[in-house]
Amino acid sequence: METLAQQLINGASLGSVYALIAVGYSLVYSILLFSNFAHGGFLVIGGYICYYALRSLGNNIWIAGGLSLLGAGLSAVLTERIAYKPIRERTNITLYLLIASLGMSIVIENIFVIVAGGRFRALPPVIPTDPVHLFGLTTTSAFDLLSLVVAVIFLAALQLFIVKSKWGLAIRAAAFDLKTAGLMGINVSMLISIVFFVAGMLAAVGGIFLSVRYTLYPQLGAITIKAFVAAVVGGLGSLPGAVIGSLILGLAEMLTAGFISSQLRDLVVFSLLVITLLVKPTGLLGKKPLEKV
Amino acid sequence: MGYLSGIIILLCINAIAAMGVSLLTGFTGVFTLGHAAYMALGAYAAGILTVQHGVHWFLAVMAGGFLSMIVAYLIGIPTLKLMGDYYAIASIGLVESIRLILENWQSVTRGARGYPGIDGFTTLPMALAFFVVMAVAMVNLINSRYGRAFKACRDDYLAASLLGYDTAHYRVLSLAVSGFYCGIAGALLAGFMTFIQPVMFDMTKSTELTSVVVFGGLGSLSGTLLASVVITLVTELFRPISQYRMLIYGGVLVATMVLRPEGIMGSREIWGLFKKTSSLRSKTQRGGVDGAP
Amino acid sequence: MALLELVDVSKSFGGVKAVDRFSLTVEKGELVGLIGPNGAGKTTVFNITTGLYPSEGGQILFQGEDIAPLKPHEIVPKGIARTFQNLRLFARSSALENVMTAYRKGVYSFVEALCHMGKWKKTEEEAKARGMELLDLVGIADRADQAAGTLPYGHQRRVEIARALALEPELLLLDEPAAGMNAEEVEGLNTTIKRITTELGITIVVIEHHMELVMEICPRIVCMNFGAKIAEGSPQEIQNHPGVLAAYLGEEV
Repeated sequence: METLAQQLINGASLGSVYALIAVGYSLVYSILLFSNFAHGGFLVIGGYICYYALRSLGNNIWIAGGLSLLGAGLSAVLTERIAYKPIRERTNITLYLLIASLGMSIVIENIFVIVAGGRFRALPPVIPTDPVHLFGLTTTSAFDLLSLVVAVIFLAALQLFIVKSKWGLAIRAAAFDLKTAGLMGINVSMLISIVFFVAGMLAAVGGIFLSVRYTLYPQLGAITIKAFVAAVVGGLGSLPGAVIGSLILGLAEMLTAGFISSQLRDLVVFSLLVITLLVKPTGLLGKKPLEKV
Repeated sequence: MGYLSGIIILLCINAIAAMGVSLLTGFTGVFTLGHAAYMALGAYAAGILTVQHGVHWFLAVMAGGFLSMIVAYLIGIPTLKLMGDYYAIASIGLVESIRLILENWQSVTRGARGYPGIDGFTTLPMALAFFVVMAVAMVNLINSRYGRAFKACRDDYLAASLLGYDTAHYRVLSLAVSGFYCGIAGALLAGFMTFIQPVMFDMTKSTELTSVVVFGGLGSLSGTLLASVVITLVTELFRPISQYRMLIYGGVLVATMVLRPEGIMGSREIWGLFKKTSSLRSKTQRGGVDGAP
Repeated sequence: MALLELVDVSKSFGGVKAVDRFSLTVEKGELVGLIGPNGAGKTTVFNITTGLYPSEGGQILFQGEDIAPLKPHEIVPKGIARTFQNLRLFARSSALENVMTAYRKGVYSFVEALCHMGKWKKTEEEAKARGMELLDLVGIADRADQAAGTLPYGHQRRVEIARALALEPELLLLDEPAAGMNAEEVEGLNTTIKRITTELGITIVVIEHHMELVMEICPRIVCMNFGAKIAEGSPQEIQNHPGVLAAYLGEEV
């Protein structure tokens, strides 16, 4: 019973981190209608900036975190400007964007391989990981609770931004129809940059927590495939769907690892994808877009 | 076996795999990131069958091809009836899952340390023979009603369905054939290297295959073959700086998409450049159809 | 038995009724015009008929058979072909290839395709000949090998018609075939459409905004507005119908 509670908290914590990544990815998808495979790169950038900031600027998580979020956000904007914007402006074949995003993800990952080396690095222990006893029911680590809380805060902030702010309204309009939003006077270029900045920022938060959990290495970005699966399960393009899908995934992974086998974790993730595509391909909350004929 | 024959055999093997990916991505418009998985299946099938069950190499190679084809078909059915990036995401999951299975099913596959002792059945004449036969088959397939169906699915799936084409069926067919090609390539690779490891069939290999097709030109078989030769030779020549290989692939992908998304050959074929464009006399005067020239 | 019978078909998008209990009967051999202001629901009617959108209620009968539950690629072989309001050619393929893609007769097997043996050669030659014939019918045989996407707009429209004809349909649905054409080209299109009906015996329903086309060649015209049928009759009847005039010109007429 205690293990179950532990794994549930683990799962929720992991799921909430996935949610940060999946939401950013879904946000970009809902506007530009393509899967940004370079999303994992922003995660890694966030992780490494945090690491180096902690090492060189003193162990202040606030400064390091802030720099990391800023850096990742800016890198995302830069990626969009260099690789996606020129393609977007010339053609509407999303396949080209997809391939370019694959290229960018490889470039980012390998820049770190060359510059930082492939070693696994442990972040300086600024984020507490001591065990915490919950209501006498179970023991979990402070880290799990913290990542859950931080993820919730960021997601709530995002929700507020999208629902209450002017740019949030613009994003919702653009998610419906990008061209029309532009015709209504929205600065589409600026909008896309903002979306990428936010996505990069969220990825960085996820990256920091994942670096603590799994240590930091250039290929950490590959974990975003799980976020992609979560987004599909929840419904591509739907932000609440991404969150729900991520939670389901996190829980499924942890329960499998805890009660069946740690090796099968990833297979469970893949199976969830296949099941979703077989049973309800548009995901839990996704809608099938009707193409204008 | 001389160095030169070895290079030529490798060229043939990579070309066969590249042709498979070309059919799926270049001609049918389905983006894949997981075709190394099909090579892995073919390689391990051939290796295990020849070493542990004494099967004749030809049958083992064929078995490898068919195994990959069947797996591709099964994956394709739920993922390809949907437009969008679902197959791409699933294909990444597939590569990872196959790698996990290969690494963990130690009793059969000998795990991550690799599978040694395969007979070197891939000789130069044999590799060339496979290449020639499969290349001719591919050219023929593209120059047939199937080729037109695949291209229709790529260029406008809605219009294709309104010409009576079941686009899901043709996409799955294209995937199955491409799986077969990669399976054969993998099996031949096993017979050439005499030793196979799961890590030989990871995302690096998958990315290499996609890069070749993109770089050569989506929709050009000769472009794919040209690019395959170039990249295989460059990889061999620049073995010493292989750590930069991936960075270069990534860069090539991005640069190609931004600067010249049609790749080297665009959708043209080298042999088409030599064909005289058929001169068709204007028959506009017949039948009194409008006077525009 | 009518060739096509739409009975009370409807389609809503969100809260908007794009098609509102629309009925239409088309007899074999007819040439019917479908007109109405932009947004009247004309293309949606075509989309419902060809299975792209499911109809909410009502019936769709083609040659007596209920085709409402079928998917587009299942409906087309029954004998319906269409062109699109916003051209949907295979831009990278040649005009001839576009038409050949629609040619579905004389099917040869996968193996025959791989080996280029058996029925491959004969079927390909037939497809090519038929393709050239149809391109000639619409007057662009000299551009057969040109990539469809590089053709002038009017020519692209003609390729689409040729491609639809290659399906050898009983019923041809033309969606604004004259869009973007000048007066001379419209004349030529008129002739082509009349030829399709008289020489090839194909029933046609054509959506158009070019009144010179519709009024000149269609013996029967149906007018839609706000998703519903508001008038039906001969060109004279339609031209004088107060509802039609109000729909196009506003109430003060």
